[in-house]
Amino acid sequence: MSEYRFYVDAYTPETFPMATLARYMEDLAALLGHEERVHFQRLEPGSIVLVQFVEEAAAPEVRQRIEEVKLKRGPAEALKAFENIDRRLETDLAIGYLEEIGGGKVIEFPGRVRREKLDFGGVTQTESIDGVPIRIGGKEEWVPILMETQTGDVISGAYAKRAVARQIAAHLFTDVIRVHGRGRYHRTPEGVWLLDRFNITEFEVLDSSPLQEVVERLRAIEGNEWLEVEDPLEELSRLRHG
Amino acid sequence: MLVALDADFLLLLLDPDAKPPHDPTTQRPLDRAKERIEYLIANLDNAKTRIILPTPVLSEILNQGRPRRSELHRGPPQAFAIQDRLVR
Repeated sequence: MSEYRFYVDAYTPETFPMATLARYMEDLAALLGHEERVHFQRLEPGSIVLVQFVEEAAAPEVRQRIEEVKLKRGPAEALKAFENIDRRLETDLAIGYLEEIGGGKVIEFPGRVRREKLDFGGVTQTESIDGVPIRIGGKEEWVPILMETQTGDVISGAYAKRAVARQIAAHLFTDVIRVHGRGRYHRTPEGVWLLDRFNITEFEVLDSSPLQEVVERLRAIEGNEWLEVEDPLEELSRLRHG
Repeated sequence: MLVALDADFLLLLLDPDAKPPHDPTTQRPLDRAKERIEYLIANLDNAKTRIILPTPVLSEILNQGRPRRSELHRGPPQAFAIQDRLVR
């Protein structure tokens, strides 16, 4: 059996409205999952501390689920539960954390601290994004374009004017392209930069040849005078430092 | 994963038979440098690693004033080709 303590700093049992307590417990249950194997145990005095225990059979999976939530990768209902708890803490001007008894804090809820952190917005910069176009469509002048990167992430928020979108459409689902343009980003209170919008001005199709083949082609380029240098690394060092 | 190549490594990549650097632990030329480079290229290829060539690296390799080196960057199409193929 493993035990978890959920701590909230703004209330005591005497001041904690029952309805609020119920909502926290509901979200906490969703966050931990395995509702039939996670049980409320007690409410500890002092600040609000909810103690729940997890049956041994479900303990590894609950631990894994918490780890995933911490990395923002868990199941949707668990991530939503985390967000609900954190927003409620923010409203209650509280902070909280979940700790595994004997194992230390496993998740922190910034709550009211979110308000104190700055949400930077509106940074615009010129840049490029690589990926395969997987959806193009829309009736406005700026056409939304969905792209999938080589690591499998899907990038939304990219737009191109109809003429460019029509050209990109020729590479739908097939080619890796590099789109150039201006992206607008904002930084969340958690410090993550998110793309709001990317206006594509031009693009190019990337060569998808294997790296070994590309290296061979580069080696075959004529006129590489470095090949005639006896010790190129020494020469490079001499050029740098004299 | 993202990998940035420095000028030393780019030179060895373009010419794996070049005189290898000294191994700092043995103070002798690096053992089997060519095989290590080819192995790394194969690994980067398999892992679809994104490779970056910082502009100063290209500058060091391409712009050292020897006329024939300029063959490597004759005009925009070829310059783009280098970018396309190495910055993946």
